Amino acid sequence: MTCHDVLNLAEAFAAGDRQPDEAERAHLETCPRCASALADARRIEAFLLAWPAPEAPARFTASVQQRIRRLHWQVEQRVDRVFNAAMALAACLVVGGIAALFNVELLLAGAGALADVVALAAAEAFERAAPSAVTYLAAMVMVASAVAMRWWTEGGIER
Amino acid sequence: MAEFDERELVARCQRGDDGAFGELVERYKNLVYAMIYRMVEDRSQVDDLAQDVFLKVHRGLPYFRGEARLSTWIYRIVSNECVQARGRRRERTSTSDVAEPAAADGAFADLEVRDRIEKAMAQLPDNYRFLVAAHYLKGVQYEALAEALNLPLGTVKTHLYRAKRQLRELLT
Repeated sequence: MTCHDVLNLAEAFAAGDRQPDEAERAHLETCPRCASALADARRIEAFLLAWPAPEAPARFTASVQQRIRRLHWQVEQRVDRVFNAAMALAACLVVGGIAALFNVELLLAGAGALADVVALAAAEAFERAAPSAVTYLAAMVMVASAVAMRWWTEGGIER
Repeated sequence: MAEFDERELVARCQRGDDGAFGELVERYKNLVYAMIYRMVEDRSQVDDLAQDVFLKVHRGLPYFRGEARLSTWIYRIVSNECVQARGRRRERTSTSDVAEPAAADGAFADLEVRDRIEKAMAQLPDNYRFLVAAHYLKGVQYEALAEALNLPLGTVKTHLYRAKRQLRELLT
């Protein structure tokens, strides 16, 4: 029987899981180191058996449930925030779409009005110019002839 | 607690019965609280950590399939929560508050015993610490600890002896 053997069993002896046999008991009676180790093991065992194990506070369960409710509430708040943001975005898209439709009609109406104005102005100009049409035509022919003669004199045509 | 009752309680919780979850907390709160009290060095954290454990239980209940016992699953959550809390604490502080060596004669003064053993406990590996903290609580069985730590039953007993031996060596 060696100290190593007995020291390995000190915790089992202290816990009462094993009783020292004759040889082990004899060793413990003669070896102060092993006897001291067994005494320490017994003190530790005694401490552990009496180790304070405080109970949870009286309002513990209520506190846990309150935290769970708070977490649920936070999750709901987050979902609400995302939902509200999505709704705001959808509303913006709807409003933007309606505004775009409204603007297209306005643009189309504006373009139509502008075309009418241009057509009216053209008709009025034609009516005013009609009596002097021959004069304008002769002037245009004369200008065109002058331009052609200048181009010809400057050697525009390969001779 | 009978297995059938436990399953029924879990089923009620899974159906969203708040009262059932309250019963579950009531049933396990003292065990969880005591385990955490013994596991963490900073006692001001115990209440928050115990609540965190039950928040995790609440979050995990819809996925709990009953393959392990409810108590086993809760012990595992406690163990993980305490290990994480210790890790966070270790990051913040140095490990300078180690146990003082004992007197040569190995004697423990009664007034110092608790403080010194608790400081020595803080130096045990996490699984040993959990085993010692949980084993010496009423109602905690070897089988549940073995399941929680994924160890064979015999290994749990061996680890428990080793943990106590390490504790003794730290104190002498």
